[in-house]
Amino acid sequence: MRRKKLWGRIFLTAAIVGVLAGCSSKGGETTGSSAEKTKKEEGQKVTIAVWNEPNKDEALNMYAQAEKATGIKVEVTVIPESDYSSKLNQMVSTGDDSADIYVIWENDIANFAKAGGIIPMDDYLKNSSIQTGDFIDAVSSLSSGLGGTYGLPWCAATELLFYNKDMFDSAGIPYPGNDWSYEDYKSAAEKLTKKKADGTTEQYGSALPNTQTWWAGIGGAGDKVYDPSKGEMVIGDGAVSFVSDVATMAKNGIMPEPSSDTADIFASGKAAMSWQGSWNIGTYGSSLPFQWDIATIPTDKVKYNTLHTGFYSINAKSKNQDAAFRVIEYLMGEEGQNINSKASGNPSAIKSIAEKGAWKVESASSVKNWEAMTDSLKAGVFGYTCLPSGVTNNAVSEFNAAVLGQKTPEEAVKKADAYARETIGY
Amino acid sequence: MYKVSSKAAKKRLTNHLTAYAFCAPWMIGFVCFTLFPTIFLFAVSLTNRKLNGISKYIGLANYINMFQSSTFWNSLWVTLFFTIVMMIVTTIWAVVMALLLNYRQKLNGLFQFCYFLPSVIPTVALAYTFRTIFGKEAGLLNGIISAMTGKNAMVNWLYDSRTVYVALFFITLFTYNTGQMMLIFRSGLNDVPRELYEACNIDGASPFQKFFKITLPMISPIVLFNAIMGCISALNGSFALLYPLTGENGDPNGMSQVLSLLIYKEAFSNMKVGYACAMSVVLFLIACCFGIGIFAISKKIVYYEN
Repeated sequence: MRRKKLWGRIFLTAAIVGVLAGCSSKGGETTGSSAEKTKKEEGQKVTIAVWNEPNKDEALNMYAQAEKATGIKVEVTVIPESDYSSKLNQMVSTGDDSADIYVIWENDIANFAKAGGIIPMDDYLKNSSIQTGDFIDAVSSLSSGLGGTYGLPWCAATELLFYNKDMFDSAGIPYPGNDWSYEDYKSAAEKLTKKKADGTTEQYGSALPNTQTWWAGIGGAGDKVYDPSKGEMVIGDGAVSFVSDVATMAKNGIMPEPSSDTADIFASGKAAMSWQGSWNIGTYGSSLPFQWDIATIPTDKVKYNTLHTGFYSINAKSKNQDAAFRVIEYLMGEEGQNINSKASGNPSAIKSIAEKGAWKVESASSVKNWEAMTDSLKAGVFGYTCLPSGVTNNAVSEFNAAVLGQKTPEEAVKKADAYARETIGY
Repeated sequence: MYKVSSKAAKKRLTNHLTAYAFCAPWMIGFVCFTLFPTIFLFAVSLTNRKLNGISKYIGLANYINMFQSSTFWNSLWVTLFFTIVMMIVTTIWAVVMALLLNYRQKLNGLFQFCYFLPSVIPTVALAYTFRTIFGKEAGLLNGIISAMTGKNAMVNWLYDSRTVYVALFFITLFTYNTGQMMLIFRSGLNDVPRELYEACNIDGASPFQKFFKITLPMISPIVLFNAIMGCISALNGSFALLYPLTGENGDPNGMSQVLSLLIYKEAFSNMKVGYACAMSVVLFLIACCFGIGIFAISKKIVYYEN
């Protein structure tokens, strides 16, 4: 009888332990050795949604390298950039689980967290080697207030002044420095402009700001652009001043006017300068038929630069969350970050990794002023990228209308501001 | 007697059930893909639904905000203007082309093929092609004008407020809708009795008199059909043409921002799905009004032979 009771107790204890072990192993991250987990995740498949094609060179393809390092199959789903944000929003809305990892944009992270579309990674991060305390300040402040760490920045891109050295040499103008003022820029643009006999422009001093760099000009002219405390667009006198300048330069043929032409006039050698994203360093590489270099965006009233990033986040509906984090862990580690920097020319958002300079793209051999990148990052803030793209694109259309003389800069800025007010906070 | 009527009733029931069974695929499709989405559209327009699914009932707030928005009113007027002009331009062009192709001449099939070819190109591809043609600095059209005149033509076709509509309506002539209209008109013209023209010839009628007194009245039901189809196509289908050409903001200065573009912008760029649905309801009502209006006018101007 006693023996029966003893066996009974042994079975009961074993059953309870078994049930508890089963429950905890379902959670995954709290019990079980790291080696066991790694073994379990190996051979699993993780799908990551991104907007740009992975690098064709396998050594520079961070996803291929992540696959090798983790043993987890990484499948990349490329969604065109123009539809990227809306597609991801639809996936969150419908509870789609086809992507385990989203690389989400600045203006989506808070909404996705609020909608329960992504999970906080704090539990994972407790036992992780990712240096979250070493992120650049702007990233840390953007993530605060979400009630958890919902995303990890895949890089820190910025905006730069790209210039054609050959055109500067031929005009006898010194190369732009990182301390260039906005007046220096305007003066050089005027001198670099070449006109034909009929008055039309043969060589522009500068390209028109693009949808991104309009905001660098407006911020530099003194506007806040984005108020993180209210989530609002803040433009006014600075925008009027910058739009007026661009309109004058376009009228004088120093800049082209907005048109349906899609060619990159800097790359085609028709403009001496252009304000563009740092990722173009990797795009241009050694492919341009002239010598070129970079400098910090010229300083007007304020030294201003827009930071760009994407956040690695885990789909709340993913069935492979542990494996997804393992892949993210690799991508956020030194090796993953360095591969990303080498392929794209964008520095890591982790300061100690960025300092090592893997972002100095080898193929861009004509670039000498790499200091421009670190200088720009120091002045970098998350600005217009935190606003809905419909609002910022609408504003750029308004600015373009002013440049074309279809309305005054004041009217354009007022209308852009009114539209932002009726849209944000919906 | 009882047996006979029971048999007849059973047969009638079988007939009815067979008829319903044949109708069922269409009915299921209609309910799933037309009726339900339409009702859902109305329901969502009363919420502040975002693209990520967050939603709360807000009554008529979307409609109130919409009617207070200058962007919406601008878009509404652009839509009405674009729809009416596009309908007129494409219908007239299709009639003219059908008339030309209806003349018995050599290589008629080749001409028809050449004209219809752009119509079978996907609208988005067609739009991107024309975007390149209408470029300012590197545009093909400016290049041709420069070569012909010896002067450097720098017309900003799609961004100049004086030329944008000319360029856009010109492009609409090459869309699938216009090509389809032309084919329908052509088949309609073939059905006009030859005796009527012969009688006109005897009376010494001019080609214009023949067209306005014989051809146009005889094909007026087809004109009505094409006008309605053109109208609906302009209202709902102009997005595919305009988005690649002038963007979601309908550049320049919102001059081409038809409602379908604004709906897309609100839903997919600003993530305001509820608000976009409210605009879609307005677009739906406009399409209904156009349809009813055209039918009302048609009673006076359309000639039905029988």
